[in-house]
Amino acid sequence: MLSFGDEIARCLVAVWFLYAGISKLAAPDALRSTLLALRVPHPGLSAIAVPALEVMAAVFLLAAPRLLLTLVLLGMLVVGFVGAAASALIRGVKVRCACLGRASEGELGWSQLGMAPIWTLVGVWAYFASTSLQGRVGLISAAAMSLVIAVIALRQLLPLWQESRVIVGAAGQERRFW
Amino acid sequence: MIAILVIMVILAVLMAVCLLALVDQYRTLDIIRRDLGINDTPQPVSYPQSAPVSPSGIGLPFHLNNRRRVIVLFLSTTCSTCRGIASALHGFVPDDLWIVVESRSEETAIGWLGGVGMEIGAVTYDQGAIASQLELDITPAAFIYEDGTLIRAQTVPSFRQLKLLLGTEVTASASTA
Repeated sequence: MLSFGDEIARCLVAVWFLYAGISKLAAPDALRSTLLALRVPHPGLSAIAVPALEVMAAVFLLAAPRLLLTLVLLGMLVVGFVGAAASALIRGVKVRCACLGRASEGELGWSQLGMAPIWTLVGVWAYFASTSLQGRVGLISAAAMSLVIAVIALRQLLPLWQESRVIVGAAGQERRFW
Repeated sequence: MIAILVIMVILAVLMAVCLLALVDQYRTLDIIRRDLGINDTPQPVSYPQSAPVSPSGIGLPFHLNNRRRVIVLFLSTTCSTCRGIASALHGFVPDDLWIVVESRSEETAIGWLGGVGMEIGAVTYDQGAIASQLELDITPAAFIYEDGTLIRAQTVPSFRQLKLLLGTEVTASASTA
């Protein structure tokens, strides 16, 4: 039962990082603004590197939880997020963070600090105690989760595309008849 | 096998990234449109105070004066939105709608109406005489008459806006016709 709960927690954290990473890779400008506000060096490069690390951490968490690299990747992310949140809180600066994509933009701070112990616990637990969902099964799970995210994106995309078609049609109003 | 699975994961992630990037682009477009005020928003159309107040006064059939509410829709054969709106009616003109087609010539109007699945008998063809009385120079535009009196006029930027003008019941029959 404990093992099952452990796997669920690991999958949830992986989905979180996968969705967060893919969302940020899709719209890196939002993260770039956050990094600029935090005075992070090379914000353009970091805006790609951070979500790429998140995706990698998610895939490794599913496919190779007992690999030291997985723990290192998760550790880097947790340290980065805690550092960013602490920096914003200490300086008293309100920094907008599109941590789960532009649609869910919120303020950087306590929520990241609150999530950090959970991410750490799951990563450490997975490293020492994980037994299943490794290798092939883990990779298939990562691909399946990415596809689910793609389907979620497609469901958001269709109404926006239809709306846009209506408005583009409306742009054809004419000021003269002939 | 592992290599194929890794490629599969990369492709799946890339696909999700591309789709979410498209979502983001559409959202950005929406923000730009809202800021510029070019969303699907009807604009009021001004007309001279001296303009005839009844439909028959501008040369439309007299029986329109007796209708409780009638929307006179001006469409032009040279406007793409007009074509889209006319096509969306599928040849069916609801009771509270009267269409005036602005065109250079009758042949052009007949050809245009044929292209959108309408007959010349169901609409009024105008070479500018009706529109000039209202000083109308924009299409598609709707003039709303209630009990034979002109209440207001507005642009109709999309079929959706025409549906809102016509009301749900009439639109439902129009869309099923």
